[in-house]
Amino acid sequence: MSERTIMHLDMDAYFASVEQQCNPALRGKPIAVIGSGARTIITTSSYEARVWGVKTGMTVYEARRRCPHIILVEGNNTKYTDTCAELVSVYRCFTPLVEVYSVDEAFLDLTGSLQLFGSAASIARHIKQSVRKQFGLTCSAGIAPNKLLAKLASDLHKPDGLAEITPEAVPGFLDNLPVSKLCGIGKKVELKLATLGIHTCAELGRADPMLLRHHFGIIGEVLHRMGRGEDESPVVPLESEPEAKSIGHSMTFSADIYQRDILDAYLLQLSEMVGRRVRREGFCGRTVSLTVRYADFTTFTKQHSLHNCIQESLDIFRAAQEILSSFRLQQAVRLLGVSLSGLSKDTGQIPLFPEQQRSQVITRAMDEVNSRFGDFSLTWGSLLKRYNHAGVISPAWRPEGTHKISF
Amino acid sequence: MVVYLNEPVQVGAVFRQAGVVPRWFFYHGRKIKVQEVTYCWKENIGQTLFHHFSVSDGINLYELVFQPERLHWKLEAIEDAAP
Repeated sequence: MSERTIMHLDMDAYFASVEQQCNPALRGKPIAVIGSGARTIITTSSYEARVWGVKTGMTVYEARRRCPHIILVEGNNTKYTDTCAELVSVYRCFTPLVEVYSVDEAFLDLTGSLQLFGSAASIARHIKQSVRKQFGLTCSAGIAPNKLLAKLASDLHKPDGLAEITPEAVPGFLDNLPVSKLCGIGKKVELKLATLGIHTCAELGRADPMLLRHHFGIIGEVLHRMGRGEDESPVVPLESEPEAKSIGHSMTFSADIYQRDILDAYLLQLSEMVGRRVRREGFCGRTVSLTVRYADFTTFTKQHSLHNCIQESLDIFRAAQEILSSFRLQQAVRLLGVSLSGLSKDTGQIPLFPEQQRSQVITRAMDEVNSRFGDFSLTWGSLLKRYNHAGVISPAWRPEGTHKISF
Repeated sequence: MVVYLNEPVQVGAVFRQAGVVPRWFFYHGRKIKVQEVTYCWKENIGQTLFHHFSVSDGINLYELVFQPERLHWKLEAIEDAAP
């Protein structure tokens, strides 16, 4: 692959910065954004709170213990996802090749934009200026020949940073860099590499590829290339993203639930959320999966494959119910999740039997009303007291397409 | 503390090419001048688009919501500026 210029943009303490921008009284203070549920955790903390050791994923109790004067702000997902969509519009002024990596991160392939806009560093400065002017937010930019190195570069001078790793500087940069800094190397791989005497990227790059393949399988070769700072993965814009392999939703309850009738009501709500997205995207699926997390965090998924492709919420619900009835609950349930996989494009087959035709007509009518007035405007009576907490934004969330998940 | 109101309000706003900027609104017969539009974002509920504005009068923080389809303003919430 010829030499590329990739930029990684990472919004600084995104949710917390949005809230500080929104409320001037929060600026310069240690704040943390939390979910709306009773069992919430810290979603993001401001840089002022990070000084006190408050981190993402921490319990509210622990955050308060570390920083007694921390201000907790309930997050607003709509605010963050709309801002993300607007940020993508800013990025698209410079290149059509924008990959939304998560709600606060994006990769831009600037290879073809340099002749139009000058150097990558000047594009980064323009973007940072626009983001500050339009939203009052700061972001950190990393420029490098590939996505792996661009992501590393954006981390170098946070917050409000700008760093470039030129192709010539790559070997020196990786020399003493711990392998854990590479995106995709987690704790387990890091420990396994340490047992092989590999601690730095340079050591990983010099390691025998056969040895890595022996210990890590096919991933061994990828690790070897990562150690050498090589990454040929393309920047995949939204419109080129592969279609979803499954569509699912899950919910963590504010209190553990034992009662089957209450679980059934939540199953119906989840099935409707899944069914709505499946139908909106014109899919149908063959395999329904049910995920259960007990009070002690034991989590398991069971699935049931059907003979026919389904897309109606009630069909998904019945299959999920069947799975739930196939075993005895050992504990109260903390989380339930329903997903539909084995997706294929809906061919628009008209049902043969009157009962199915009637069901399809009712579903279409419900969908039309809900598309006009909002999800669950028209729904089953048993869902009138439905779960209404805004969950954490899924890492799979995207501003457009199948992954545009409503909360 | 946030107080959720969801009350229709009369708003004076400037419509510019770049968007809408609320300047003042009446709340309980009192004219509140907007000192700073601190943030704005959009929300779609079904096919209805809502523009949210977080505005400050220098003391408190207010959330105004504009529904362009009906040219309708609401005061969604008030928050004491000092948390």
